Amino acid sequence: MVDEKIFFLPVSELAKRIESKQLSPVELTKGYLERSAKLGSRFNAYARLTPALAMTQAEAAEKEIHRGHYRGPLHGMPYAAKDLLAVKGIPATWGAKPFADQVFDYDATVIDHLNRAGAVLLGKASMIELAGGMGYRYASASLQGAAKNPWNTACWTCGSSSGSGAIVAAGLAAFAIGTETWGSIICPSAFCGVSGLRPTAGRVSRYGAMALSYSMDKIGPMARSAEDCARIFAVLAGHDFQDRSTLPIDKAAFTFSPSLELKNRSLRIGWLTNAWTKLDASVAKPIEDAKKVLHKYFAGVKNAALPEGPFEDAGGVIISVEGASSFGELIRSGKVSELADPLGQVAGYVSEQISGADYVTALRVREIAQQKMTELFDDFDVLVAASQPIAATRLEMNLETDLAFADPLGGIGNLCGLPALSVPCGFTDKNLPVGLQFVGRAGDDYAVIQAARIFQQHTAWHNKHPKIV
Amino acid sequence: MPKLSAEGQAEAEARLQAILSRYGSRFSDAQKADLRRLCFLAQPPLDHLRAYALKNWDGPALYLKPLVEREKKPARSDKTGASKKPVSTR
Repeated sequence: MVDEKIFFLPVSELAKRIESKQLSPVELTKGYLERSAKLGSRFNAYARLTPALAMTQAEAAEKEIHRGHYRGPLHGMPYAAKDLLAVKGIPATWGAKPFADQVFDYDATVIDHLNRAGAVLLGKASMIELAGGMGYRYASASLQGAAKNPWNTACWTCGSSSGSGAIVAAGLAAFAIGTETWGSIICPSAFCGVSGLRPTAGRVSRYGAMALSYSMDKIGPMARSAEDCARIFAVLAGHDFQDRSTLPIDKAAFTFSPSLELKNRSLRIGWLTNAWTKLDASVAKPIEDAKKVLHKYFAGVKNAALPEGPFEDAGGVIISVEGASSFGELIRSGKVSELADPLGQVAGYVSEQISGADYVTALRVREIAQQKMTELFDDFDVLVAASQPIAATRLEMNLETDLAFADPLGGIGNLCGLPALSVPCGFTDKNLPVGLQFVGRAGDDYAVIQAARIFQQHTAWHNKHPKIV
Repeated sequence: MPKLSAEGQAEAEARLQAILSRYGSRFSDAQKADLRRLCFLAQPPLDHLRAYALKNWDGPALYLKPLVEREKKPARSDKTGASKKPVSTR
């Protein structure tokens, strides 16, 4: 019988106990499986559990570790993978009814990497249908229904990595894999009070992952701390000959050493003054407190401003057009009508009408955005802002009309493939988590991890978890 | 509904008609109304992009990769357009 506190320990602590044989991967996996079976449906967190596979992997890990062959910090570590990742022989629904029975006969590269590291797959995390690729108006836009926030089940987890956020927040797995095209790791991490890393585009292979936007999709970890994210990212990252969009070997690979990193460079922090038009009053206070922490522990914190331009528009057009292509068959066949969300049933038809010339113009604007952000990073190593201007929203909210606000940081960050890490930085007066976002130059994932780790060394928000009875 | 120029309205209407001519029988009246709204909402971002003063030599990010593996290009001395100063912002 595993103590409940164990379920909320970070990977770094669980790994120490597993390596020293104080904690059995088999017992830990059984504990997480039982907890997930009992509580998963309360949050609509899982698309499915994979208990047979999990126990096979956990038993194999335990045998290896007892034989003295410890592979590293993810060996015997139970996790969940967003349901758009191929796992051989197990359905990958992409959160959407038209793909409810889809099964692949191979593993996605990230699953393969996690297998090699000895991680244990507990199940597939629920998600917004097609990762929101056809648009959605309601949190219920998922084959599994609306994902409920473990901090308040009347609230949403955000999407599209909805289940991944709920699973980590509720202590149903040690970590989860999410994906982001625009906001889908950062927002659920903020709403659910967990740490989530959106890596530089091209560092993690997307082979075997559902494609929404060929030039903007990213895969990354959601976990209990920035350090955990770094350890998981080190396993996920790397060039992959099966995904030609991955960066070259020397630019894609990531190694992590906590002791080395903290003695590293002095980071120049830019506090973004135009990331959001306005913060909700309940979010503004924790963000202001977080700013004070940064001023205390970083030598140089100066105001910074994102370049102005139609960069959100460019990102929106690119996602719309690439989504219309990646789901073209679904649109043309009319099977989009099977999607759960009323917006998702029709928006793809509009995306299909955007001209090739407008798409290329958006790509040209992207090049300008990349240059301007590179110039901004001449003065700063890391940019910081609230992850979201609001806390978790009500489940029934119309996201199209009531949650529409400009997101220049999400727009330019995803358009340019920049790394970002969201960490918890406090709570609203309704006890909902608030997130702080660190964004770095392309390829400098290390800087955002370093900044977030320093923040977490001086705060304890990431150690909080919801009371679940 | 966004306020569009006459040209913008015509383009949005044309977009809607293109959808209806190809797929019209699939939609309920409510969906057709939603499509019309979405066609109009799609127009401002396109107008913003087109108004951004790009130079002929401002090429697309065709590599679809971040700048991480490319050397930073020095600014061209004859490049004074919106690559540096955007005309349209939001």
